[in-house]
Amino acid sequence: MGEEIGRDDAAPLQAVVNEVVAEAHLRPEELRPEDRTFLEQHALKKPLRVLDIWALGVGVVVAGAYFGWNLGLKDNGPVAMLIASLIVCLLYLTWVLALAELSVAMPFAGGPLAYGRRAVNPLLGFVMILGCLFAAIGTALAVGGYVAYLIDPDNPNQAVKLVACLVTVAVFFAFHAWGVKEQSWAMVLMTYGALAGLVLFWVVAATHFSWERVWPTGHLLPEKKGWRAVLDAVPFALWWLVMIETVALSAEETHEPHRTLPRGLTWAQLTLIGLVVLTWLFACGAMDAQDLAVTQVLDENGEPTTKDVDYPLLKALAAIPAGKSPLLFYGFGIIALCGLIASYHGMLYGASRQLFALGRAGYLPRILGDVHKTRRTPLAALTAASLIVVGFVVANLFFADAVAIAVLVSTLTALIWYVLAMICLYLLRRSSPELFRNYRAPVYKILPAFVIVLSLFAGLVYIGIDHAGVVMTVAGGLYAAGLGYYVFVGRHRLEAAAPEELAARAAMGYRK
Amino acid sequence: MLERLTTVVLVLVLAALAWMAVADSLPAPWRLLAIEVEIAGILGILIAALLLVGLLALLHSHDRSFSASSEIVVKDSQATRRLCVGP
Repeated sequence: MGEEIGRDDAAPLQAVVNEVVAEAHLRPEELRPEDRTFLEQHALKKPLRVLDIWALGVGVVVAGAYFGWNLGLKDNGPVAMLIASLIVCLLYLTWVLALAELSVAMPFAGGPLAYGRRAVNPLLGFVMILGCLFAAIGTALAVGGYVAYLIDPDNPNQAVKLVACLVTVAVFFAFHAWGVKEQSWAMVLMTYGALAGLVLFWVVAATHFSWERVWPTGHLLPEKKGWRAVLDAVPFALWWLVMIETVALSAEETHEPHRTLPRGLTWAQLTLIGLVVLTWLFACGAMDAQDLAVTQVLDENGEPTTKDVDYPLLKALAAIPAGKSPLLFYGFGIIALCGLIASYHGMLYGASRQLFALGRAGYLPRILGDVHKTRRTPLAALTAASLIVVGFVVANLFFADAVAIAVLVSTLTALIWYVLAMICLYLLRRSSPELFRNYRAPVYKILPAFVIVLSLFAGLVYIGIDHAGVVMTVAGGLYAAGLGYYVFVGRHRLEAAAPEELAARAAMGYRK
Repeated sequence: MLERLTTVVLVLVLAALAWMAVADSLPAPWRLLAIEVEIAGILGILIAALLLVGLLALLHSHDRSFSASSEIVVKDSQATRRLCVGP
């Protein structure tokens, strides 16, 4: 794959290679012939524009508005959830601005790999991209499970779940293999569908809205918990927005990344903040917050107990007089599927680009770095990412808590990589200020420090959550396995001509 | 000016987070304000921070000074493209 390049493809391919070389801060004429050949064989197209970046950013995260966040309402109430959500919105707004600065400076598919590699060494780059990869896999698994749940909510048996997940994986593998512009077009459509679903929910929920449910008189925060309620809600509030950083991995396929990425990311994040506030407002206004989080059921002994609500918006709709129409209920369910599938679509994009970058740079088997010779899509990496998701789906048949733990591990590793990325940003600003001449984040002196403090704040809250021991052990085990692989295998096979490596070598003197 | 104001508000956000983390363990006389007032204050700070950072982000992504330097990269890139692809 990718070895033979037709004469018709050669000219645009040369242009793409020259852009990649310029983005690595090298002059095209400096490039050695063998390095140019390598880049030609592993080049991606660059068709993505602001609308595509916006759609990728909103689409990959929008599933968070449909489920997961509501568990933060349990025993904490709507006001604590609002404050936790606004803290998380601020964390992600500042994070995407700092990330835009990094991704414009080094617009490569292996974003975190390039930042860590150039700022410190290949080991840090590898650790950073591992954190990002875990997040993608964990979130894709959760979304896959929910697709199955929506298809058969009354009887979510394992066979239906497995088949639904496998069909989803197969269909979106085909879409991504087809071409980056085509999959982006599908992403834009699904993002519009997901937004339409939320607007429909807001309109129906508004017919049953009560300020008393949103802003209860008496105790705004639970009397027993006080401000602790806000801290307890933070891990669930993260679910609103986690994984928007996937957009940074599209930098290498973005047209004029120095313009497109900051605009696309900023608009996507502002759109998402609007979605968070409005969805919280109308959901909590239409139904009691505790009922959005848990359902009263009887246990095996006939004693009353509670069960977490997996589908809060559907539950709120079903409880509203205007939402009792089967047409509206199932119509919303089908539209909501757009949001969930859009997020899986974005996750697959992110995971495949990371595997592609790791394969191209030699950290993982090199076949993962191959691209289709005409479509320029990373087929091997797409196959591997899809198979990993299938593996997790099958594992979920045997381990009931696999999804919950995968989600918590993914958000924890995401926070770790935010902190590492901000440290890299400070180091690179000091060592290579020329990298940042095309875009600099606002309030640039304190912005990365703010992201670090907020990420640590959110990370420390994990100590008190359910499954904390398992989550820390799994996350530590994954990092240990990754580090072991790097020390014994990966570091001996690094590819000097990969763009991430070229960018690092440019800082040290390319020919050395 | 806007950047300085935003910096101040972001520092206030950090102070608010610190307050949330320790407030419940402080002795009662230290809690000078009612919890409702604290909530309104913290919500105000968070909303102000979101608005200011959002506004600055939009201004920055269309900032002329950065766009001007970006032109250099685009022109470089187009020039190398013409060089390699031909007229």
